[in-house]
Amino acid sequence: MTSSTISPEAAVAVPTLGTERASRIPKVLRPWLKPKIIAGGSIVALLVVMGLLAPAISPFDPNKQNLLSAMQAPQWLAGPHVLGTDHVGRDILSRIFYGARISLVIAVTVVVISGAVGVGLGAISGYFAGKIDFMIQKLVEVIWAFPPLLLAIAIMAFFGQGLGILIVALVAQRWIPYCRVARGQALSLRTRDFVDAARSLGARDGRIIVKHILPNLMQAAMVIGTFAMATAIISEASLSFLGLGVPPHIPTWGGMLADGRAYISTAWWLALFPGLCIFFTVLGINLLGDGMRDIFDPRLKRSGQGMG
Amino acid sequence: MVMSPTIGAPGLRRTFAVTVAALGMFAAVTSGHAQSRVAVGVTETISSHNPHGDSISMGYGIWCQVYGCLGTYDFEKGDYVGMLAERWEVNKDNPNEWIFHLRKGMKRHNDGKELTAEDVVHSINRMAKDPQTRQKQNVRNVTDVVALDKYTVKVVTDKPTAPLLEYLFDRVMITGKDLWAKHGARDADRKYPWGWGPYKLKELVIGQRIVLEKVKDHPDAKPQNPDVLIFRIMREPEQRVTALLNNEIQIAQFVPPHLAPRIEGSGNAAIKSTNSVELMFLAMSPKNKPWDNKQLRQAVCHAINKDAIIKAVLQGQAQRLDGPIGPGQYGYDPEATETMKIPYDPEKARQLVKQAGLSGTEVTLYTPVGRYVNDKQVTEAMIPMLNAIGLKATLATPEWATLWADVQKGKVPFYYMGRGSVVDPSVALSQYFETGGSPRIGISDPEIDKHLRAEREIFDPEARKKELNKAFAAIVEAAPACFMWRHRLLYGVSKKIEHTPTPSGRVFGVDIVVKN
Repeated sequence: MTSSTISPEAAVAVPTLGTERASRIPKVLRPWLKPKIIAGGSIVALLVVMGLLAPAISPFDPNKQNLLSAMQAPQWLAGPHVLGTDHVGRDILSRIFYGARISLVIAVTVVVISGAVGVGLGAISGYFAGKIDFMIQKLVEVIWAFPPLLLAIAIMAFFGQGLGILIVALVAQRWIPYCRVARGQALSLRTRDFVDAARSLGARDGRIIVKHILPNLMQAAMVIGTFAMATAIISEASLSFLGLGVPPHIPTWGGMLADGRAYISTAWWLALFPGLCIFFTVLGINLLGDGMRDIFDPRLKRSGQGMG
Repeated sequence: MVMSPTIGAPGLRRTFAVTVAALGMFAAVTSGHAQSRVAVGVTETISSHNPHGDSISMGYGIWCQVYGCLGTYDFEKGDYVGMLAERWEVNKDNPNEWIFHLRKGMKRHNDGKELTAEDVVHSINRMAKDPQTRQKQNVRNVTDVVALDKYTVKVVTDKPTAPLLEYLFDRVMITGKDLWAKHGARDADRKYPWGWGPYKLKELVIGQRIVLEKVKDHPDAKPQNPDVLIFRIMREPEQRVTALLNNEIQIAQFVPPHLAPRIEGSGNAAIKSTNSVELMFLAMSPKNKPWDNKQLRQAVCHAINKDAIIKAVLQGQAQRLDGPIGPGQYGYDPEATETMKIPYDPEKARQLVKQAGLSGTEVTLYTPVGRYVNDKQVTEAMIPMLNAIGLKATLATPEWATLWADVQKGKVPFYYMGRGSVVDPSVALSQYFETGGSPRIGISDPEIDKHLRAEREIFDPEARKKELNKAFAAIVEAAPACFMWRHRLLYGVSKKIEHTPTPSGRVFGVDIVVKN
């Protein structure tokens, strides 16, 4: 009697692919070929392409006004303004492409800076413990007490509008989740044998943190980062919607949405398209983050569903 | 045998009787106290409990019907009419002296104290000396105020002041001298906001709502006027229109032109319009660089294509201004205005910028959002026009409270704003363009000062109009502001009430009739 058996590992790791096909794919890539990672990754890739190629693919200058052709409805493929024009005659499609660029810049910058600050402080806090840990964690608690959007609004209202200020306002609280997770892991790592070994070989604290602690915090930071990207995009859109984001001449999806609300019953396309862009981008990033969490989560690894 | 948990016949009867009695009492109570209520969706708020602590057009209207003011301008009659003042005159032998005769028998809300000349004297003095006052410039020319008897007040000015009524009438809110003395300024304004107007203040939640209640025995209040008048701050035009169509509010202020068809098509509300007397302008403060350069200021005035903006962004619902004022405002002379006209000429503007050596200069235009009709949209349309003349212009949209506070302190160099309630322009022009006026623009120009001072001292209307036009020409030449347009104000009004909007934009409860 012949029996076709599927190895449990392959079946669990790549549940959506057939056995033969799965066997042709390198083992290291298999966990990444999940529908949510593919869907999320595709959306994020599209966002990156839109952002990077905005000057090349935009049919018009995003800030070029033409008062005579203001408020034109979407012409789809029948005219030059595929998604229509806004209240001062600017091309919606071009502004969406450029808006992707701003969303991308803000999301990546905020995640990188807040990740660096949060992981760095978390590693220091957890590694040294004691008074340093106490002081850093008190700082975390104080900042964490502020509602995130309110803190950002206060910063923007005080320092004024600008891309740099916006990034600072968003980073102000977004480093906290990294810090808390990194601190927890660092507290555990500091007592591990390889850290003791490095210390007994004369390595200084700084070297131990950089060479031995931080690399072990990267996976968790990457997962937090993907979700943080989504919240950064939503926060930017919220602040721009409130008129506190980047200056109005920089096209952003939140700003477009805010402009469109005044015409929501008479010119739906002004608010709909940037709203859809925010929706799909956040959905894509969340799907990707969810998939990455499945791969990196040690509990899922143990159960055989992670990267293994 | 198990007893079922039902109510027996006597219990049922008792429950029924109690229910009927409760319903009867409720019906009696509600029918006895049925109040008519009108809510107005407005774009601005009062930011202080002190009736002189803000300088907001809507505030004058609200405080006037609560505390009461001496009088106001009646657009139907085309003249000033008294409110707490019955009549007034200028001393023929000494034009520096004005006599105001107060209405007799005016009872204050809550305690019934009669209005006296002492209260008016106190209020004018308060307007000048209160640390929180934003109205000091309106009594700048007043050197003395005296109560001649219980109902007569003498106001003395340093020089003859023809437009004094414009300075005092609906700017001085008459607050009680006794309440001020007994409770102090803060508590008098917050806990005892009692006045002699036809409505009393029931609630003031800054930034949200102002609730007024009709004083039923007030001589100006009629039964058909709303018992409760609510001003709800709603900055979003869509919000105001939707609330109107849902009957949450009965008057929607400043409806943008593109939303007018939605109201007209609704069946339960209509659009009513009026020409505004609010001057919309671009202010350029010479106190700040690069706006100390006159050529640059003049270039900006040549750079803006007002007609295109009115047609495309305001959908024709505005009237172009070629001088500080327009038709219907005191002193308007079409021939003189024609000579002040600054044509749209980007080429000339570019040359002026070049001559000033300011090509490539970065400038930031500040605008409120939602305070005026399509304010952000019109300023967005101005940015490429400014860039086309060699400037690097960007738009800033700070939150209204921040912007307004900074403008009042003279901290904003370049901004788009309006000056409301301009009937006789003397006060507004003095406030913005005369040395020592408010710091909002901060220009000091001897030629402007000379003509503004002179026109105030002329009582002959024709001679005064000529002098006013010289002041207009001096202002246009110095260009501390580019005068843009006056909006045609569109109001959404519920068909359940009768209301005719005024050019000043003020809403008085006694002008509203609630239909049965």
